[in-house]
Amino acid sequence: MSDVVEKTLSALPSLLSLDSQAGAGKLSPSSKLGNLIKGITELTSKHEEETLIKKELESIKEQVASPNTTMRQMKEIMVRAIYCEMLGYQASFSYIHAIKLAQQGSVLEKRVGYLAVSLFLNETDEFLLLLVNTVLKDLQSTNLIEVCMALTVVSQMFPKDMIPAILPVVEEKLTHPKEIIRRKAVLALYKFYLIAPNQVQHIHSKFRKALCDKDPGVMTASLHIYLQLIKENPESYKDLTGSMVTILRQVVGGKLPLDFNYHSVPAPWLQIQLLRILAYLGKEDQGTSEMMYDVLEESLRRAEMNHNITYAILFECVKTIYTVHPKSQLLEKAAECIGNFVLSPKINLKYLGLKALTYVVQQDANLALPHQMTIIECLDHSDVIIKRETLELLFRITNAQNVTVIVEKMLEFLRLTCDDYSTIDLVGKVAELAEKYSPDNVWFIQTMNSVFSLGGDVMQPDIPNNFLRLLAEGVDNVEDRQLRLFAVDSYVSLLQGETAKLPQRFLQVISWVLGEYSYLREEESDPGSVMRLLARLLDQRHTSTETRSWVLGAMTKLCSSPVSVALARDVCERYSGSLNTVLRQKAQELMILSQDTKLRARVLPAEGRLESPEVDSSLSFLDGYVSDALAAGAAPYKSPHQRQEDLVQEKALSLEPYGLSLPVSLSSCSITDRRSPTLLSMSSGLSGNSTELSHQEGSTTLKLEGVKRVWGKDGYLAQQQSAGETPTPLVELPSPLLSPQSPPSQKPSSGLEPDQEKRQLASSLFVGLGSHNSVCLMGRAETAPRHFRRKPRGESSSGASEGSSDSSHSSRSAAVDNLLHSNLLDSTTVASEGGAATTTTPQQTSQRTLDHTTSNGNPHVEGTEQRVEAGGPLSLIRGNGMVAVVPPTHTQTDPQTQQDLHPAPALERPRDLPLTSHLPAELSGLARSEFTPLCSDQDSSLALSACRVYKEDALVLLVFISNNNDSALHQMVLQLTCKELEISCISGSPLKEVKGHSVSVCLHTVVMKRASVQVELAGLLSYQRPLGQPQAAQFSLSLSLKHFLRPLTVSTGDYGKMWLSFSHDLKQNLRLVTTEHQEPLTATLDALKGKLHLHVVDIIGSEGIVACRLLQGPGQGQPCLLHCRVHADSLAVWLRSPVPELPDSLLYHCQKALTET
Amino acid sequence: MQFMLLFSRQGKLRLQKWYVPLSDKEKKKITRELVQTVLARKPKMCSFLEWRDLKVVYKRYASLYFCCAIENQDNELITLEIIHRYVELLDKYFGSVCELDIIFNFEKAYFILDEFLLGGEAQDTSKKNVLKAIEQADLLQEVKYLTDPKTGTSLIYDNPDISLSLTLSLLPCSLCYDLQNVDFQIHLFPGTVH
Repeated sequence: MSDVVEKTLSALPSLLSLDSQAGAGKLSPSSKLGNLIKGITELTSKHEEETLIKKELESIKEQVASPNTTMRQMKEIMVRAIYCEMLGYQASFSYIHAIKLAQQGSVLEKRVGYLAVSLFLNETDEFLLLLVNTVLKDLQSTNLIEVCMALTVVSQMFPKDMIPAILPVVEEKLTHPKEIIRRKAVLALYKFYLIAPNQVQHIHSKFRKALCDKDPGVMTASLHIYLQLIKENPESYKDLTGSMVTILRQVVGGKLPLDFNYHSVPAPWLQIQLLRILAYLGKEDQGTSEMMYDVLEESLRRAEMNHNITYAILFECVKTIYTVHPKSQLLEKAAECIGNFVLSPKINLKYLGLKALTYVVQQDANLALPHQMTIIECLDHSDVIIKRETLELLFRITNAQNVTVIVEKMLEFLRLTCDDYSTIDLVGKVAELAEKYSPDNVWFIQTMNSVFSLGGDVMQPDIPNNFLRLLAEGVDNVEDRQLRLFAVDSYVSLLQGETAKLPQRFLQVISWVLGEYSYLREEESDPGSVMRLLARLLDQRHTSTETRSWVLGAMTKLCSSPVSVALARDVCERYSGSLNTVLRQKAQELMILSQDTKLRARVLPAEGRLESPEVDSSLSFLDGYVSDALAAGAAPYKSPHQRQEDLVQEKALSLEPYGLSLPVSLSSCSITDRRSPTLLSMSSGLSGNSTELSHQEGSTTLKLEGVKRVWGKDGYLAQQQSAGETPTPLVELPSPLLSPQSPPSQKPSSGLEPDQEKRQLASSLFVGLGSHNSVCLMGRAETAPRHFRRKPRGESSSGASEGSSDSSHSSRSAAVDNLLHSNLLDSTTVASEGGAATTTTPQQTSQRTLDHTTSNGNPHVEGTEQRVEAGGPLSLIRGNGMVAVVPPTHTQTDPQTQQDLHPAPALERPRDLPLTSHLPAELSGLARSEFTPLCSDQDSSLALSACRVYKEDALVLLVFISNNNDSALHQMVLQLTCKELEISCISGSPLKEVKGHSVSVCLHTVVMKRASVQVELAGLLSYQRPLGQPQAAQFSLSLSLKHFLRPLTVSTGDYGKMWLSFSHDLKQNLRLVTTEHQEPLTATLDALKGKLHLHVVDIIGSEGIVACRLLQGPGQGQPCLLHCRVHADSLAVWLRSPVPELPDSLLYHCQKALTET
Repeated sequence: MQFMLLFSRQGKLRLQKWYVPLSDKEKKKITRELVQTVLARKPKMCSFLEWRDLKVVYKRYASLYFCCAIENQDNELITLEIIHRYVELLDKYFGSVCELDIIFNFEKAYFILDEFLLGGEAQDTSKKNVLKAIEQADLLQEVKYLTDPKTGTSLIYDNPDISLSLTLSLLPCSLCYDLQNVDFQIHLFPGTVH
């Protein structure tokens, strides 16, 4: 490639100017481009165009290769090449010439060259490397235009690895006298920040300078960076709130130059940017939010002009007001504003109004009430986008009472749509609602039938999986039997009809259900009927091979009666010769099992169906082997995606944080709804025929993550007060028990008299929304929804206590905001809090929560927790030979005090006193290990012992040197070496001598360099007695990983976020600890907590999440998260950490800790 | 912003600017599908589209569709105004712009876009500044261009309505003389969006 450059370079005829067209700024139709365009417009067919462009490209190719082409001609050629590319024809041969043009052309030619480069090439293109020098040269040019061009191209695309090459020059431009250069430089840095955040970390202070730039344009540009920074880490930028508020106030007040006005609105882009920043800053932060109330109100007030741009600002303002800590007065105004949007005759505003409503009803479902009629109208809107957004809104306000109507509307939409993306999204939502609020079995099965037939083969695979699991799980009571029986009946009648139109996925579901549960109906029908239906399905042409194997699987389960056996043999004969190996195998299985009744009864016992086979997906039976191999130095197993990542890392130094390990192709919504460790685990080992035990959740929660919950159980208090003062629609809202004709409180301003039908629809849609309506509450209690839910197996073992623990879980889940693992039923109650979600009063709730905690956790642990929280930086660590010392009142840890208190006073008679008294005062309050003797010399005149003190940020290793002789020790040097550890001496001054009969202490802080199970620390003390030879004492000390573990206190929400961002994971089954008075999970986690200093973040049902950090390197160390689930009689643990070795080593210690218990 | 596309009523691409790295194949696929979707929409319909996992904001000016794909949390209305400002800039630069101007001088249209949007973010929203920057670059070596007589029609923005109605430049496009396709000659600003 460089050859080409060389050749063309050398042949450059600099002064030839043959192009007569050059310089024609405006179109000259006689130019070559003009001719080309004209030629194309005159064509009549696509084929002719192809021929023409091909010819054109040939001629371009010839010209660029010709040594006689001037840069000026080249510019014209490039424009033509761009044109051809725009028409969709590849002109890749010209890319290198575009770079050349940017390199060698004069300013205007360069401009076209850069343009061509930015249009032709991708950020990842290797050609871009050839541009780096050109850019660098132009950045240093004295010609401002050239600098501008270089900065422009850099802000659009630049190879990530080459950023360091130009970064200093770009940085330099931040102080350029011309504001346009400064602005472009800021934007270039913004681009760098986006593609490689680590590389611009050192210039954050310069961003601040840009923020304070006297030119508003530069300041605006810097806000792009700040928006990103604040979005990622709002905590570190809280101090900017004041500045942002001031800037916004000035902008709103019209203090900017008139140049920045856009249709007489001052700097709308800037305003919106600032509002977005404020939203991030004020989110869940009352103090910060209070600073911005005034300016938000002013923004709302000023933006009153009836123009698109003011609506844009209003919309952003409303979003910010609903994101920051709520203020009733502002919320009222914002709600009013949303009303204006919704009621607007302009369709764009209506759309945004619906969107805003969708956003706010998650906080207060009642806000939708005033707009009932508009929403109904939008449901039948001719624009599909409006319809879709309305359904989204309805989805958010669904409760047990309106679910049938809303689901019906959604299915109606689904039948009409042909867009895969909305189908996938909506089908998922319908399935979610059906599962959550289904009023009865019949409806549920019918709805799911619609879901399967409409969702077809594009829907998320977890929908059928969840459905099957739901059918399979649960105790075998009458209700479950009915559900299954109804499903079977419904499928039988479906199979009796035309099956050609049914999607394969649906047919697979049908086959599985029929195979498992047909026996439920067998009393009433002839035994072979289902078999015959399946056989018919098997032979149909449209049935795919995969479905066929499902059908064969089902038949294998069914061939019990003689009629069936005969049918089965018939089928076997045909399929045992199939070309497909899976089908052939299934047919063989069927053949053998149908012949051997005894074997069949053993392999597929009729009663055993309810207990799904135990699949040890984590292969725990290999644990011993694995740990042996690890101990012998084998490399830990890495999953394929990890290996992939490692490869990528090796190839290019990726400085970016890891991406999600989730497939991100799903629609954004389904990602937020479905992320969870358990779900991930599901996908790993799920084959359709075996129902896995993993509990599905996530999809039952209403996007709790990321949604701020400013509304309590009973709504926002201030809002309630204001509701009392002003007449609100709440009083009039149609309740389920009132007649459906009750008129809507507010009619839409369109003036159209809503007809009876719409009113009825409204009353059925918005039923159950007013939480303050007592009638509604009662009605709700009566028609308590039958929640289809998973019954955790671990729970059922606890027998009689199940009921109570169930309810305590539900109240707990209502109390906890961000429930990551709400696999239990009642995250639904959280979601539908707008209605009277639960009939429990807050007192009851708290009472239950209390019960729950006391019954689950033992008081001893609780006390520890509390003290940890109260005790500030110090944590108490118990168990495993470590002595817990009650912390004294003074807990200083700053180095100043440490120095003051050190070195420890030497005492006269060391033998009389325990070594404890030699502990430095500042460490005496901390948990520590017992004293371990290290070594002593023959006549025990010198003894060394060690003690570990568990400080929050490091392990402090104390080496006590006891001199039991009369003569002093001189020239003492203590060396500690270990290649896996980072050891630093913290003794004030290196001690030189120890007097006779005294004790000296050496303090070292130790943290790990890389995680390992156990490390050996080698020590060497050299000293000299008066009149003696230099002597040395050697010792070694082994330190275990657990000495470097500290609890990591995180919230459930943070845990969830961290979980997704960590890439190194490990799964293993561990044994459960059983005690009499505790549940196995709690007991096990307590044991781990006690021995390994982990922090139990949350325990929900049969799952628990635990977090810890390893003291490694500087700072707080490296986190490791554990997700534990009770899985039959073992504990399935899933560890994740950003550090590759940590999960392995930690797992080893977990295993050890549990075996010791 | 993820990308911006300009295409004609016939579905011909006039301008494309991608702010996210995509392969050529993907670009072509997106363009094809999006052009189809947008062209199928009726004039009175909403200017916003939820398309795949993107949000698309589009607006028609005369025979040209301006179409931007933005992220989910971005403000749709302000994107609509970005399109409008861009059209204003084109109009001011070319002097009553029509599709033909953009076809024949698409590189100029790109220059203006680059000066207005940088890396997908509004860089300079002041009309004066953008045009100044463009003209400075033009001026440097193309003195000839400036002598080209061009009657810049001032934009009058008198209708506070959100739908844009700017004065229709009645001057025939000086460049259309030998082209048969009448469609090209319609000016972008007659406000056909009503």
